[in-house]
This record gives sequence, structure tokens and C-alpha cells, in this order.
Amino acid sequence: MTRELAARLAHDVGKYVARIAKNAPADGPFPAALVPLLVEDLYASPGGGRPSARFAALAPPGELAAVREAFAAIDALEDAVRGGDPGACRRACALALEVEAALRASAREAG
Amino acid sequence: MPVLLVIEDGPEYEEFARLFLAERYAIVAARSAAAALARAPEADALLIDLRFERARPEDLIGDAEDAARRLFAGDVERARRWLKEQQGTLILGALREAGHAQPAVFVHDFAPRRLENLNKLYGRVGAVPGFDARSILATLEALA
Repeated sequence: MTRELAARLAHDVGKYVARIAKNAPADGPFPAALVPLLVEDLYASPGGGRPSARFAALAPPGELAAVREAFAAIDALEDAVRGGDPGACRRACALALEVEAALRASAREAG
Repeated sequence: MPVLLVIEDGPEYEEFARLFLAERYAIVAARSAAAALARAPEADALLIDLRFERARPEDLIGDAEDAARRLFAGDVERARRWLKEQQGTLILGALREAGHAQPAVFVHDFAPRRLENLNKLYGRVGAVPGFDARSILATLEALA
């Protein structure tokens, strides 16, 4: 993967998908006020489209399999997250943090 | 309360700041260099996006033709992309040139050497790799 593409994935996908996930309280009820913004992070990218689709469009085939899997899991949680289910929101946050960490590591590796 | 000027090409930083930084800062926002220069006098600190992928060409600062000549062997399209990818640092440069020396934090995973260079060029620059409110607040405090 080129350095430019890895940087773009880390910025356009990884950074924004984890925006709320990084700051949601670690325990207790998931704050209802955060749900709409979590939905925005997980299912609508800055500039349009879902983060999973943006990732699929940018990532070279066969690379970053763990991120693909995490996005599949995030997408499968959509209805529950949109409904504010606390368990689903927390699980989706954990997956978003995995995506961010993997894309950041990939960008570092690419230089 | 100190004022944090959020500079980005979309609403995401501002939404984040209003949710997670508003206990410590009053939040104001700018979506272009011109708006940032207009609001900078009221700001105590700056939170800046690096890449302005969504900015309109007329809102970008930097001379694409000059950058093409200097950096990209005359490739103006590549230079235009570069202006978007580096717009945050170009805006910080414009702010510094105008005399605004507030601490500035980027939400970006800069390589250590790049951050060092930004500090040499502009002074009082920090970076946090992601939207981590605690780290951003700590970095702004350390630079104050």
C-alpha cells in the first residue's frame, strides 16, 4: 500500500469512525446524547458514504482483513446501535477503536 | 472561559469539541483560512484539522502553481491535492504570519520529526493522533 493511501485511510476512515468511541464513558449506561453522533461516525463518513464503503473503496484487495471483519461486525450492529442498545453501542465502539488502531498502524508502517 | 478556535472543513471537530471540550473552553469554529484569520483575535487556543478534502478550491490558501513548480515538477493537479492535504499547516502558517501565537493542536498522527519541524517553523504546536479529549486538553495545557 502506498504511503499516501495508508495516510488517507487512517485519516478519512480510522480517525473519524472512532471519534465518539474514544470518548464514551468506559462503564455505566451508554449516554443517549452520544448515540446520534456514534451513528454518524459508524454509518456516515465525512464527505458522504458509509465508513465501511469508503474503506472498501480505498483499501487494496486482500489487505487489512481485520479491518474488513470489524466493519462487517459494525454494519451488522447498525439497527441495534441506531436503537440505542447499550450493549451494541459499546461493542460497536470497541470495534471502531480496533479499526482506528489497525489503520493507524498501517499508516505508520507505510512511512 | 478561554476560547478554543476549531479550524476544519466540516462539522466533526466542532461537534466533538462542543461535546467533550466545552467544560474547559468556549468553542468557536472556522471552516477556512479567511474565517480562521477573522476569528483568531478572540481565540486562546487552536484545534486544527490537517486535511481539507471537502473545502471549496476558492477557500483554500496556498499557490498551486507555485507549489507545482517547487515540489511536483510542474504537476498542478498533484499540487492542488497537496494543498488540500496540508491545508491545516498552511492555515497555521498564515495565522502565525498574522501574529497569532496561540497553542495549536492537530488531531493527526504526525511522525515525531514532522512535529519537530512544525514546531521549529510555527512554535507551540502539538498533535494528538485521534479524537481523544483528555489528550487534547493535556496537550493544550502543556503548550499554554
